[in-house]
Amino acid sequence: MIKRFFLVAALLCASTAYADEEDFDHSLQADPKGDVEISNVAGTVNVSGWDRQVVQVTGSLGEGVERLDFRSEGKRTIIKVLLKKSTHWGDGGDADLQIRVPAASRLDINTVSADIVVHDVTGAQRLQAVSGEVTTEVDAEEAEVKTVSGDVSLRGEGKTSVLNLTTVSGNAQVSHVAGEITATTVSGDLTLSLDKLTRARLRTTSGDLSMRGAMADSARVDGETISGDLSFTFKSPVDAEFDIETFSGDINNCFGPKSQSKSEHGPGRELHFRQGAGSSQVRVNSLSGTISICDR
Amino acid sequence: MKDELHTGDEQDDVLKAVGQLPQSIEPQRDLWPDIASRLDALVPARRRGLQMGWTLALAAGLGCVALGALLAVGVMKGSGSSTTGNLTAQATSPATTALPAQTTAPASGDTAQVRQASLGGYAMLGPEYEQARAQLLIGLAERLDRLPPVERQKVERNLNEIRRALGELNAALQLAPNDTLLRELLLNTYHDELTLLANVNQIADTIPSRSQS
Repeated sequence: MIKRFFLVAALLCASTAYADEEDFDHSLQADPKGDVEISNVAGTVNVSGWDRQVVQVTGSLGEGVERLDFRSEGKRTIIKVLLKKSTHWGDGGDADLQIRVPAASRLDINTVSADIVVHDVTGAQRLQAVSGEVTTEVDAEEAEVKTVSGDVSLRGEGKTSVLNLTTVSGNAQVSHVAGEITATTVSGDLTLSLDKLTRARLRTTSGDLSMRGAMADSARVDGETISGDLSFTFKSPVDAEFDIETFSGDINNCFGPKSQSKSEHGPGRELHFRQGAGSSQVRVNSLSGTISICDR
Repeated sequence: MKDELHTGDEQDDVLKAVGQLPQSIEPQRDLWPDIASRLDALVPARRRGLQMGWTLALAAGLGCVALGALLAVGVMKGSGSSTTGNLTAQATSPATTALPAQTTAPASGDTAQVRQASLGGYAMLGPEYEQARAQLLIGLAERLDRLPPVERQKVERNLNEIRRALGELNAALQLAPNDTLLRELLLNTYHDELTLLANVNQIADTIPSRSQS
């Protein structure tokens, strides 16, 4: 009898817990190149492109979620998780969303701690997360990724695009991106593997940066750090003018002349030289961080 | 013309005579104390000249930073939150714009020491920059509560990281006031500070709000 009581109680608890999670499955017609705006606080946002002119949202909404605002306004589709007033951080406001969008849609995603995953979307992307991780693929369109502490993993298709990446303390890994890149972090580490780079502006305060890549003709690379270490590995043959300077950091290079002391008594180093015809320009500065230049 | 035509013997004589000259001539009295006192008297004037040089040389850079600051605030205003409107009103009040040399601005529960933006002690960034920074700091203080506690700490830690870098750069610049690398790094780091403030404000602004129901 007692066993039966506990069994019934357990089943009731289980069914209550299940009832707290609300499943969601809705679709709306959408413009093939429309804007899709998504916001979620916690959980996941998983977006993939498809060849239908429909935005489909499936997933589950946690007990702290009041409702999912899913509507379209002209070429815009809005998907917004609204929390109950009483919901606090880490208090059941999770929503796990699987979203299918027309492949050429432009994405605008904002989350707090929800992870963002995007694949097979060729339109422009603007992704922001506070602590959520961002994993995305970019095509030839512009991409802007910002996080506070969330890590970023971004993969390109080797097509020329414009990438703007900003983290405060999050780490970022970027691969097969070509064209123009601006990457900035305070204390995060940036690892970049780039194809056919035309313009790069790379800055860290104390984070380390490692860049490997091939420069297009007349490319321009600007790197700067205060106390982080910057490492550049350029694909051979290198054809660029190098201007590298530190206030107190070291300069290591595996090609070109040796760096010189900036002054007789100061700790700073500088290195200015031309490799090949010097069609591209590489300028790297640091206060105390070490700068390394190599080719492969 | 004739003087320039020397025979080999004449050249040898000249070289021999030059070789016999003393390597150095000691002055009859020690000249250094007089030179040192004159240099001391010159230093303030040289510093003034240096400051003017700085002002001119850095005008473009400062303009860029100030413009960036104003743009950052403009973006915040453009986000259209009612909070931002209040911020502007507060920040343009004399109490906020007239920042003392060392201002305390709120950044969450703790107070963060925000020094007036100095360029190695030789110049200060203009009032437009300070006003933009003050507005962003007030905005941050109001918006930080929207972030999860752990993220708030990370933002504060990274702001402190930037301020530590600014301190290092200013200290280095006082030792090496003519170092163009330091000036560039310093200006860019001030710009980074503004960018961080603007970015965090903007991200916090977009955090989904609680349902009104």
